Amino acid sequence: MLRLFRYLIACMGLVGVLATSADDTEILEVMHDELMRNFDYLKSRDYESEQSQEVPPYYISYEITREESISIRASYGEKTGSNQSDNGIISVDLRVGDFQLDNTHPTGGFGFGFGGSPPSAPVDDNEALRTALWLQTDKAYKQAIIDFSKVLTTVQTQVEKEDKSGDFSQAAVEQYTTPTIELVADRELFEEKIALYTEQFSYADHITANDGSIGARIESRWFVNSEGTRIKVSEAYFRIVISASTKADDGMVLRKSLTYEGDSQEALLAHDPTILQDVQKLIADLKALQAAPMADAYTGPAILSGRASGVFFHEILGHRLEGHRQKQDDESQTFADKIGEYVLPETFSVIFDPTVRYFGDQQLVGDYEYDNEGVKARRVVIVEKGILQNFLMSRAPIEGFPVSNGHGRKQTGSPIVVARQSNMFIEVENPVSPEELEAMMIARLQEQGKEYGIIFDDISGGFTFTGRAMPNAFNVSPVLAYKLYADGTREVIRGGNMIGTPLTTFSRVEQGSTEIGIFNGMCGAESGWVPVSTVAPAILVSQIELQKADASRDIPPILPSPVRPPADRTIHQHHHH
Amino acid sequence: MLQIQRIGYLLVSLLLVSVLTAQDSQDVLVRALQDEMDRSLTELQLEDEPKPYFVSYAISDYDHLSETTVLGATVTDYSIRRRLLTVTVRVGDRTLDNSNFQTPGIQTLTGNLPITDNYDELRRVIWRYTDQAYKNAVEILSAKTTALESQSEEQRPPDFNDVEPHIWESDSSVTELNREQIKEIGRSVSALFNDHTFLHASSTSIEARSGTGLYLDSDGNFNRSSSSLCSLRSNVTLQTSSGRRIDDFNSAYAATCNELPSMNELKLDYDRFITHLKALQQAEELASYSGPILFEDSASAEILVQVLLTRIGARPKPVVPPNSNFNPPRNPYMDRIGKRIMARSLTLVNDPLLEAVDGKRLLGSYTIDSEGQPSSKVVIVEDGELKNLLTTRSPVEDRNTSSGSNRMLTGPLPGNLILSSNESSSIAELRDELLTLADDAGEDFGIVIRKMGSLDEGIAVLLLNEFNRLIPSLMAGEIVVRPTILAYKVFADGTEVPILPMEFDGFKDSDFRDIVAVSDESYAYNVPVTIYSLLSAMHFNINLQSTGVLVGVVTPALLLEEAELSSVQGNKPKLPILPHPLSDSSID
Repeated sequence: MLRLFRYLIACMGLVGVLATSADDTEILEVMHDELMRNFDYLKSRDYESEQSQEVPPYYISYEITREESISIRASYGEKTGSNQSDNGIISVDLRVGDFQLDNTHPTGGFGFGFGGSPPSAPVDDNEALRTALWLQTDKAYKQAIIDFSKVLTTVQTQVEKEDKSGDFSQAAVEQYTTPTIELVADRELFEEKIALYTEQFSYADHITANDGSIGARIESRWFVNSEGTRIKVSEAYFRIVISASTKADDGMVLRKSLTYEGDSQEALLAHDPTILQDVQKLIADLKALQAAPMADAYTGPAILSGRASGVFFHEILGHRLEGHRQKQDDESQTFADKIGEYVLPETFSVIFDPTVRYFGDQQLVGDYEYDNEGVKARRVVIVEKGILQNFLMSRAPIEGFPVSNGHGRKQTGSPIVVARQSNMFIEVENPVSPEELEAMMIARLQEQGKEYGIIFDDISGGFTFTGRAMPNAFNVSPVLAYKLYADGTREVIRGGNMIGTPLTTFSRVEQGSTEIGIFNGMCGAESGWVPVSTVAPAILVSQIELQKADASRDIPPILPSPVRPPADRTIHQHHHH
Repeated sequence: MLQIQRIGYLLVSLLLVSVLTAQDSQDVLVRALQDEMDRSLTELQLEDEPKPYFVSYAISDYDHLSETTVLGATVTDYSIRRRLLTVTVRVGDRTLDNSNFQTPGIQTLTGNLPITDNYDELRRVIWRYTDQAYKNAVEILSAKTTALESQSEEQRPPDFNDVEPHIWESDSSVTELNREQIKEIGRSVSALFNDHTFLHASSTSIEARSGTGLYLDSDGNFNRSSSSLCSLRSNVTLQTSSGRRIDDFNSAYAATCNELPSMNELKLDYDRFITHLKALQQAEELASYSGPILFEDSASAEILVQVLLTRIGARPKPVVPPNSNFNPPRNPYMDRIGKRIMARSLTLVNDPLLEAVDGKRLLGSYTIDSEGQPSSKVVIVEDGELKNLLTTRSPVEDRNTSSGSNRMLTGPLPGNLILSSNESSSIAELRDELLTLADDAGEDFGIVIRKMGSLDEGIAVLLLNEFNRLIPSLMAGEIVVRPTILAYKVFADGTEVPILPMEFDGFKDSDFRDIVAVSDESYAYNVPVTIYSLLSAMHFNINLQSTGVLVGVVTPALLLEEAELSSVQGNKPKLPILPHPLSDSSID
């Protein structure tokens, strides 16, 4: 049976790399032709004789994104639904003025995200595609003229800015195409797998809700601009998400989830052998959490597991390294003038590298070949041996950093691109073993006169404020945390959030261990939601603050489960095979 | 050995499966629902709180697919399969329960059930939702009781009526969705816009939904039937030479996509549509008009729906907390029973049992409503006089019986509206009358409206801010009449001149008293009205589908003595600066 199963996977893997390259170059050709037709037409108009404020564009780019996906859901071993979608979106970036000052110049705060439905891209018909591109270009041009006149007025009425960098930077012309990956997934196998994984919850009485999804998404992007860049990329994201929750006696809902990624069905199902075990651990963790005492407000030393420290660095450091935040007036610009200074201990380095697709056998979802401005992805060392060296840059320059380093990103359909994070690597020199890290924390306990320290084992996510109008705080929400007492005993706690302010917290980061954790997640900011990853060691922070988490207080179900208690049911984990 | 045993086991289970029919598999679901309902009624109780006195489960088990195409090319393609459960729990008693608090009707809870028939897992999920719905019900009843205590006592009708149990099962089978065929229709229709470069944008969506509905409640009502709907809609945008932007649509509805008009018929229909659109490009602007109006074609069906839909249903007056700033408006028709609301010659009937008129399917027909009550024919207006309103199981003042009109669990909605008259004229006579009345009003032309904007059809193209403006008006009980799309000046010599969209200056329900004549021919239309049930659904957390509710309308052309129209203002974006990529001539 097992051999047959392996063979099936291998077949699927082979089918999954079919290419359709003829279409790819044709779409790029159509986009290029339509772009140049519109660009040339707008440039060749006689602007002198007109009364209006119209000026010619100096740059146009088109990006078409096509997303194909399927997903299957299950709960307690039973399929609850499935869906499939295929969607094409057009984005037009049209700039009037010049590199120094154009229509995208910030004139007042950005909002988060975007409203309305983005324009559709009919990619399988050339004439339909040209018509759609034409209409969006016309719209973008009219909007650019309106925006540019607003920019000119604003610039005249404002005091001169310290940062004299322009609005757009020069970038190399790129030519690159990869074939479109075809979405090939064995639906029956997917159904069987997700049913099997979630079936485990039906043997656990304390699980009050659970949901599993398994799916695949192919994202293909075609990009052309008036500078001659032509890019076609295609990426596959296969994903399993399993989540379950339980309720403590006081009604607090405790949720934990597992995610697995891969760039093919084969890569995704390579995780299969460990998933049942992971689910069992999740069930056990939730049982422990259900019985755990509530966290008390706490300050003192803490160990953040690799995943927890990844999210911690993403929130407190990563967002503050995004280039455009260094010059926007409403941003607190924490690091704007800290280049060349220590921001972390000498042993810590921070690198962003979207060119890495796998770390060990784990896919990093923050990878890409070209960013949303057609700039080639590259490795960027941001902090070297504790010293701040660089920022994450899109084609919006800032003083001292005149060009993009391939981090201009956005969610499909977002009207703007800004500098965003990709795959973040936290590297430590001379890491200690996890045991040594715990020993170091116990030593801190004695110094600080604390009874226990906190170990953050797993986290669900976090958020931070980078603006000036709000305190510059961050919040990291743990799923599973322990108290570690001086004698080495551990006790699970629930319901605490790690909070703090960035600069103070950095100064308390002390040591990293050899335990590396990977976190794949979606990150939201001005240009929408983008996938990001962190690869980070467990760290010791000499002092953190724990705040009681807000939680619902729904009472547990009134009646017992109508399903026979687990004791009456035979556990047969493999009956689906 | 092991393998042989496995095969033996497989054979046995295969045999078992073949014996079970589809019906039996549904019965696992029915059994799970029934068992959990029984247990809830007897055992589900919080300390010091009442038990449920009523529980209902509605299941919608369906496949849905939608595809949007532009000029023959797919832009989005989406499909979903699921089984939705909607739970209603009532606590208290029929006199005073958790319904009719803040808004008329009752809050329900909707969620996904397993689509497989595993009794245990179905029970488990049903148990969870029932538990949550019960807790919500207890909380609402307590808030409602507190609100009532702080108010001076007033006579309230009971919250829920008693009914004779009604059991019904249709023998129709579920239509399988033929994915490729359905998508092909969408692609072919959208390709009909190819070569019409005067259109700035066009997009065509085809949506199909097919599945089974199942309902049971603790009053003994039970029904099960298959249902399906197919809708084909095209939205287009064009700009007239004067710069006015016009949004228009064309649509076709059928129970299944196989029953849509044939491709040849669709082609003819779209040719007519495109011809109209071309004419619109040259339409004249008319600043304002005050005089007679003749509603023909779909415009007469639309005006009836837009004016009457929120008026012909009786909704209970909800209990409102003392400090609430939302007071649901009272339906003015509640106070007009026995009074004249239309011209004396007119009779309006809601007939959900009528399936077709002159071979045209009426898609508002249904047998059982969402509360398990049989639908029924109701005479709403007779000889111009308001006789009855549509009702649900929520008594309203002295109306204690349901007319089976709760179509979406969101309150009363009509099925098919049939307007008839005992005096009618030929279309030619109506035109003459129109011109005579116009002459009286001092105009040398009258206005004929053949197509109006529709709230539902417009959702896709309505600008977000316009939508946000309309919703509060609808919620405040105001009548929202959409602007004209196809309207013409008609002159004495028979000439017709198309005019740009105009909007009514305050159309009132009482304007129907001034219908001076109607045609001897009637038109049958299916008008989408999802928006109206959506409005109620917003209060109740009800999961409504986009391919929603249709009302069948059979109506003659209507000649209205007088109404005021003015040109739709704003929305005059600049004409395209760039020449169209597929046309040789520059528009600039």
